Amino acid sequence: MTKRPERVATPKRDQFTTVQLKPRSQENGQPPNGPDVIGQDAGGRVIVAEIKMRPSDGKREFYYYAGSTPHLEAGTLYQFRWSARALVAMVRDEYKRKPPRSAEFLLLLVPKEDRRTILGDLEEEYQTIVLPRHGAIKAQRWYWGQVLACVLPYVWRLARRVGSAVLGAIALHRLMR
Amino acid sequence: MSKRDYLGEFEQLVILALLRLGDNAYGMRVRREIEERTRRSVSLGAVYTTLERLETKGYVSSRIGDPTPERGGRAKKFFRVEGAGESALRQSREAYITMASGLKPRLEAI
Repeated sequence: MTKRPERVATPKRDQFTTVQLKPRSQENGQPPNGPDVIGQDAGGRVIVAEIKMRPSDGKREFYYYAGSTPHLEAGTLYQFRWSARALVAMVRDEYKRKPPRSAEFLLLLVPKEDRRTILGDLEEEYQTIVLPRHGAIKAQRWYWGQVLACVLPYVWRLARRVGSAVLGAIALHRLMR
Repeated sequence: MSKRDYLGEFEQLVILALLRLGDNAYGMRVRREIEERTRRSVSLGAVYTTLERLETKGYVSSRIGDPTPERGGRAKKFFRVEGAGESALRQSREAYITMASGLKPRLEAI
């Protein structure tokens, strides 16, 4: 029979001191797949937070653990109530790691066959180059700029086609009169 | 030689980038290659519209690669230069060299 691990008390607000809250943008653009050390309670235990993806539906779940090392084994993990501050910081961090999805609506102007490839290229450059080098704010600005610049040649091409068709129709109308 | 065999300046840059990148030539790499070498800002849209035009002319061909996690599970579209593309690039380059011949001192003074 396996020994049931001892439950650790939830740290109170005044017992909780943040020792490290590292922006994920500084982690070489790696996906968030490991626990983050976000604090230490009065007893010296490390507080670890982790975002896990639920395989069934792809939704993200938030976990909050305490222990003696940031690399805790599954049997020693204890789930705690979320510290609102840590949760907000992690959600904000997670959000900043992603390219701004609202910008992607503009790419509806791009033909379907190119859209997915362009989105993939933009996301790859955002995650692997721009975000680690420049941080979340500049990276998001860069993404918006790239999306706008991406759309312009397609809008221009569409405008030329529509313009040619309109001019052709006018010319035909005059010839027919 | 027909008029169609000549390439525009940006088309030449895109084909040269494809030749440089070899088997690993896809939109993002082409854009970065041109941007880093020419130090001019290039959008992915401009690269893709040019590649599409070159593909229609038969100067380049494309194939879809495997999806990767860093691209949000989206596939890469790899491009390669075809014989007609290399020929068109050669003709454009020869035309430029012919026009520029004898103007070296003047061009260097600019």
